[in-house]
Amino acid sequence: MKLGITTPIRGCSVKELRSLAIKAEQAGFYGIFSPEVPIYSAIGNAHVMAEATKSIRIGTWVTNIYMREPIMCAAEAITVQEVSEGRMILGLGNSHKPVNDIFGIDMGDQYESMRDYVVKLRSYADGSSDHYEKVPIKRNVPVFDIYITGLTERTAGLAGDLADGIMPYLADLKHLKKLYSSAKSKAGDKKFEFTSGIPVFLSNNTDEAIKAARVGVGRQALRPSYKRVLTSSGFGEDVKKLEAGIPPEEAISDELLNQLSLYGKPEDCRKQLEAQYANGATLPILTPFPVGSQSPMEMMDELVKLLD
Amino acid sequence: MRVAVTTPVWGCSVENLIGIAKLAEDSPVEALLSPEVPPYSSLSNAQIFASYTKETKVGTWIANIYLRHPVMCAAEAMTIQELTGGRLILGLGVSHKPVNARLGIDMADPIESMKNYVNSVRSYMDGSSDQISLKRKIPVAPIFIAGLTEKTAELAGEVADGLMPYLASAEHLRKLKLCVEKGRASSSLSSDFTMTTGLPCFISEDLDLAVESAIKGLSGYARLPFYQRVLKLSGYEDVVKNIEDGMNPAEALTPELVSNLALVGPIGKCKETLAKFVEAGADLPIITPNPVGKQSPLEVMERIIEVIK
Repeated sequence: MKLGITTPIRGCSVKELRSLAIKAEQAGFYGIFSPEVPIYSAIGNAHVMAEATKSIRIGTWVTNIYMREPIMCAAEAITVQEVSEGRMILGLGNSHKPVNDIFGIDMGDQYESMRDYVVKLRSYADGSSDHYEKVPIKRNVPVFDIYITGLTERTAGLAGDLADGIMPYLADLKHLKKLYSSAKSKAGDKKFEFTSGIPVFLSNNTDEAIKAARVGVGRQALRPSYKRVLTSSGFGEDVKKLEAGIPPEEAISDELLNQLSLYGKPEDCRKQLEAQYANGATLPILTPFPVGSQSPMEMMDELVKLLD
Repeated sequence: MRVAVTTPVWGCSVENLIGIAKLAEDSPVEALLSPEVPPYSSLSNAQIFASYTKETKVGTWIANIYLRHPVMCAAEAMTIQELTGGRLILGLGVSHKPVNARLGIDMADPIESMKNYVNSVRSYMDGSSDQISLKRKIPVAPIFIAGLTEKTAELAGEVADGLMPYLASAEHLRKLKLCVEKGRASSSLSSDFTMTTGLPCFISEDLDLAVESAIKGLSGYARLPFYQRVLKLSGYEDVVKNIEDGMNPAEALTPELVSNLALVGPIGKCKETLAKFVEAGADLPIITPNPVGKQSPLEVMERIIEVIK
């Protein structure tokens, strides 16, 4: 089973990052990725994990394109690629308007910003375009893979056109299928990864896991970009309830929860994972959330059981 | 004698960075710092040093403030600070107009930009910013800023923990130090201030070859407006005038100039030049390696260690 995981979305210590990466490698996960929620850097974390491991793919899930000039993003990703001897996957995204607003960032046209960023970034990494003329130094490091987030068919098409993979998150199976189709239509026969980001809440205590899942999914579902996808996917009522201030424990329906997350006992989640592969995902990426007071390593212990 | 060393300005492989870090760790070098010429990241390089040192300070010389949002600069600095248990020196600078212009970056008012950036980075690192909900309990890294003029030196005294001039004469360094003290008088910071000075080195027993390498190596800097300004402030108005009038910098720079502003020639001579800058007020001279002839990055590092022993 080709499966990726992320480190905790709200960060953890360097010591924990190392331990998580080593454990993920030993368990047989395909890749381990770092989220980027300030005040953590996804690339800095990927660097830590690259130094701690030998064979697992490492990467970002996802780096905010507004936080670094493309030349600096390329520079940092090239170093991780060099340190990891070719295991780097650079996931790029626009983050969210409420987040970027806090930091005074004008997102401009998100689609065009992403297009421009990926084109420049790749040119700095491989020297293929005239952007490279602006940088006189060339580093002889194989180009890392670039994946981009995408929740709309248009962005999925952009991923297929310019990137090596797509990284949607919190999308239901039907919507994911549309995204994969759009990406595939542009990617053609080139090597391309269809990932699916899934929040997971694993515990033998199923009731606690469900509760944690409703709260966790409910909080994220209020981001504007996720609201749009959920509404278009038929979960408008859930979104309306959340917007009205109804607690996620009551607002989130079973159907939404089952479509968007994995929760409960690990052995009970495998069927849902199989559905992801059957839907076209080549690399589900699981994002662990704590159930109760689980530590990062305890969450990892639960994730590993999925591979048993 | 306290001395810091940088890795090569034009970058080198991760393997070489690791080798240099190991040499630095086993030497009297107080700090190993990375330049930032794209497509190299000084923070990424410092993160590599962090993993291969236990006591040597690591840092940036100098991270360009226009290439990262301050919260991401702080985030990456904090990871290195965490990895090293508090050995990071975060050097920040505005780079140069020609460099930034090529990347489509509008520098606006560099001094104001620097002031805002430093204050923002510090607020993210110490957790006082209300923009971040996640807090990391990591000691705040000292922030040094690049500065070649009296105005920037005063700003450093006000908002930073150190100043990082480059290619300044010993006389100019004395003036900058006075400006730092003026800025410090109005600062709320209580940290010990570190006056550094960047000294390019061209170390070889063959003095003529070292001088020739120095003139060639420093000619590129002499094309940049900020360095032209510091050369004027260091008493080389005539040299800059010649360059402004179209003379090739490699022809305009003189043996006297490079020998005054850089460590050039045999080890004994370089020791004397280094002592001159310490006497002028440099708490932490920062030596920047340059090859003479076919010296490798590791060979240059070995010569630097001989100079500072």
